[in-house]
Amino acid sequence: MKTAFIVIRSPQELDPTHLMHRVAARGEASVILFEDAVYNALRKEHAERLGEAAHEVLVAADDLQARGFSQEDLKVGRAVPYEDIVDCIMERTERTVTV
Amino acid sequence: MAKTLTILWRSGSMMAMDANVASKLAAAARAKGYNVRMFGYGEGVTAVKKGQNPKRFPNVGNELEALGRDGVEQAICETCYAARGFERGEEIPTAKVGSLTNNLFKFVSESDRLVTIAR
Repeated sequence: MKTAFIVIRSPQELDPTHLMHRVAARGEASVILFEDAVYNALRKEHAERLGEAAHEVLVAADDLQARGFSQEDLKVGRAVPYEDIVDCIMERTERTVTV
Repeated sequence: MAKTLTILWRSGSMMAMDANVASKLAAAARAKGYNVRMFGYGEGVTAVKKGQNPKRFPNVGNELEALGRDGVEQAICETCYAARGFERGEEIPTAKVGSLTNNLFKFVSESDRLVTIAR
């Protein structure tokens, strides 16, 4: 089932990929990073793990910029506005799982 | 007929930015024409307290009230609310002091998607 994983916690608190691998195959997994979870896409080792767990990585642009980073700093995925996140949740996936 | 999104949030208004994430997600979904419902549970009930006055952070109470006026149905858990010493009438006017059974379960059963914002 196409799944949108919602992550809000820092990779220092939680590695979301353990659960993601158990719940959905990479080709059916999208992940949305809010708040301190954006660091998952900024640090190489975390970004590589995330890229192996999900085919689509969306980073909340507001939360990325609030921490002093931009699209150019991302090691995986893309920075998007909330409207694109809504599209992922409502149209491109069939359920959400908060990690 | 427009699809419906329910957002369940469980973090307090001053704990982190979780409630603000929930309100921004709701606003974006409304702007795209979706129906949106929100339910506050646990510490999340503090986000509907009337008269919040944060000095350096977005005012999530005002954000939620604006969403309510834009048609976003909002309810919170009465048990969680009472447990924190709040009384009816302390909430923003757009929020209903409700329950899991009467509100959240109904919201979820009538929704196309549920998003939980929680730690």
